[in-house]
Amino acid sequence: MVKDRLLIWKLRKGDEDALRRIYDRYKDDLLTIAVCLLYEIDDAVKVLHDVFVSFADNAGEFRLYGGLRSYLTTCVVNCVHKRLNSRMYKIIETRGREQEVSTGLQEAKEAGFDDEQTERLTKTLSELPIRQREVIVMHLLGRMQFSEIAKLQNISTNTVRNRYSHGLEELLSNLGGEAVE
Amino acid sequence: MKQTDDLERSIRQLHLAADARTDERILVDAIAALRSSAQAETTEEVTSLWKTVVKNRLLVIAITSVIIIAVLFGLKALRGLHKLPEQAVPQKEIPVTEDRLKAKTEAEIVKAAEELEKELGKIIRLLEAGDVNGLTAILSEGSIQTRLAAAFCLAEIGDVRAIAALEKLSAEFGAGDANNPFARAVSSIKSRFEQAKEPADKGGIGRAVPEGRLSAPAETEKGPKYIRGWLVNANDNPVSGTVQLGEQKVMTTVEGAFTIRRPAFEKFDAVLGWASNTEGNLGCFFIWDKDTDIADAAIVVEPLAGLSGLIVDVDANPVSGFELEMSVQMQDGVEYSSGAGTEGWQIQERGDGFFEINSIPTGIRLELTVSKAGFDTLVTIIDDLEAGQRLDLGRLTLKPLEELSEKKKWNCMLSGFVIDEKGEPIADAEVSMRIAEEFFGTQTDASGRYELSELPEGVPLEMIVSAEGYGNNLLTYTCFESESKTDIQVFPPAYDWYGRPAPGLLVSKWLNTEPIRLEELRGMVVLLQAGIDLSEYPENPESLSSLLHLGQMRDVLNEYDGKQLAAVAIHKYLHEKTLSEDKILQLIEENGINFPVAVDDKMEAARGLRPAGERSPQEGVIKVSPRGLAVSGSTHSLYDVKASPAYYIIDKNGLLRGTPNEDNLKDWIEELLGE
Repeated sequence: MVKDRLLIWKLRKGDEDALRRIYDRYKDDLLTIAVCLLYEIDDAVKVLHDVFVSFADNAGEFRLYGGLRSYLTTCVVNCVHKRLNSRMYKIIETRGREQEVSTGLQEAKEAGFDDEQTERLTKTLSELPIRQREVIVMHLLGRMQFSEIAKLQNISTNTVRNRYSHGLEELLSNLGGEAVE
Repeated sequence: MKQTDDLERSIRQLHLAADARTDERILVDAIAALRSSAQAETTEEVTSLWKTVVKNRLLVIAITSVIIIAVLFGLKALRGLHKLPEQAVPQKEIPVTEDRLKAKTEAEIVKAAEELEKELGKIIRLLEAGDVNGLTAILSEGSIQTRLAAAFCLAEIGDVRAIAALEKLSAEFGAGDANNPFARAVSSIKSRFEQAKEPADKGGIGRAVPEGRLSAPAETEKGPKYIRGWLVNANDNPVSGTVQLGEQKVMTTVEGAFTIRRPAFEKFDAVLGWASNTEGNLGCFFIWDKDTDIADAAIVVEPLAGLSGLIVDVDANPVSGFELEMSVQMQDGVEYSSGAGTEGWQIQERGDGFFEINSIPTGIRLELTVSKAGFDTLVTIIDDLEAGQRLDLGRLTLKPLEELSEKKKWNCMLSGFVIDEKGEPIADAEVSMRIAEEFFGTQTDASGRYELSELPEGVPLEMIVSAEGYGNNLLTYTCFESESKTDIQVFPPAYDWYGRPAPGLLVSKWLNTEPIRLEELRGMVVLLQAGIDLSEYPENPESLSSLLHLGQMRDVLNEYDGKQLAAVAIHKYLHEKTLSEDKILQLIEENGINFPVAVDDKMEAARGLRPAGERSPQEGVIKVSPRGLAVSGSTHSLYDVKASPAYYIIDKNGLLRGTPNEDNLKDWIEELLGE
């Protein structure tokens, strides 16, 4: 946390090395979060790109009130929302033209995953209702507390917990009752 | 439950990484955004220097006039000059290049006001930068208002280099000293020069101020405190650049002069500041807390030093993935804040064990720490690095933790007292330390003193301090010296809550009753028992003990039947255990447990719920974190359960009063029932 604050301080002064360090520290985790929410790696990479460009663009005014990881995780989630909305729009728009839009159901190799099990888990995650998916990903991968998530989404902590446990149950059921090892 | 835990673990372990090309592409765009954002900010700063935004142009003139007068009066107040002349504009005219105040049309007035506004803005910037040359230039070519403002600013800076230009203006002004603002500025500068002849380093700023340099402590009763100084090289020639102190960064003049606000000191004796230019870092300096006056800082700029080395293991193989940190250390009893300076040096790791640290200031003690999981932390002290020196530390060997037992560095001794919340020593307290398979334990004697010897040096050790009524207290300690004395202060569970409203119960399920809240039990004395664990009954002795304690609480409750005594028990959060909730309920009912029992909620909910204003420990004592050893649930975390089971007693007003034990439980009950 102290290191993050020092990096943010440097970043606000326009220090490019600080930006690189923040990127190196969080890129993998944030990419994983984006993939778990979107499934498509290309889309997830675009989310990562947009989050960091926006982060750098606002560096001069940035003030860190909580954890940097939580902040960046939230940015990823918000960015994913925008993408999903636009993706939905694309689906609706193109239906009339009878074009097929990729919904992300691809083979592991084509999708760019290193192994089938990771692909299976992320695919199954991405098929959960978005609200449950978000809570699971923000809690387990973004390491955010339920109360933190509740505050961000403007809902009660109990609702977050319910979404989380129902999401896990559904995930378990969709995985055939076995967690991926 | 196990499946869910496995699933959670699987998700946590998910890891995806972008390739290097993607990383580079993202970083290129992000850095471009950062640069463009920095440029936009600079432009905005310059244009928005004057924050008053007015739409009525005529209002600009009035406001500008107010600002001029405010600057004049304000600066006067700072330095306690005699009262200003009756008119802001001097009676006697000084030849000026333009006479803006004689403009007659509104357009001319507005234009004049705008130009004046710009010039005053420039003067403020020059004052902040301590730019004596820039301000002196205004004395010879500005309007009368700007010359006055520049004169006051020069008097504020107190630089003798401005005296000649001010005296010339003063002579042109011609009035007697009392009414001559330029003469007053000269007097002010000269009097300061007389006041501070001694070298600045008796206070400790940078190096000694050479004879004849400016030294002008400002009045400290009013106004901000500034540091004024100049950058020079080893030959005392001026160097221009940027000075950074804490969050402040100011440019120097071409002659290296600057003014910067004195930092606020918290717990440090000195703050490390930096000087740099476009080519890199130039040097560092210290601002000392004991400098109550403003003194000039002559910062001798000298080449910075560098370090390099190679991290290897015991087989001389390069080690990668280590963490390397360097910090400024306390020296000669002085503690430096390194926060302002550590960003200046650059640590580079090549990934093959080789590291390099550049831009290191000299003249301070540095501590280099290399750590990696599974290895003993390596600490190296670097003293007296010389200017411009490139020191190669050679091979630094990281030793695996499990090999420690074969090594010889087990020669540290740790002793001290275990004390309670009042600072009184505790006899017969257990003090133990564990590292890997090694175990060191002792007990405090009658005076509360403990002693542990033959401890390994430089290795983080898990320390557990246990005492009756204080539970098990966990801390981590590392011996860096052969003999250390450390007192350990322990607190009863939930000590920070004593006398405050008892925290609410964060439970996941009530086993044998409808949900209740502590608020519903106001008016009664409440006996709360936490740390119950029946999940491994009857095999686990802890479960047997828990049932026994539940039975004891049942008996106490029955004894006080009809009195205003209530009881509640909290079972630990159920992880993977053999007994289900239904079985636990059955056990409770079979044993006639006639008070509410709930299963604790998961850990996360309790985080952040701490009372405000925690009690501070005595100086020189480790205050043991009041966290329990086991992650047993939210309520357990909130109530700092450190031993199982644990009793808490809450009075009729809902205030947590203490943590009784079996011996004094009834005394507590009687006392609170009688209130």
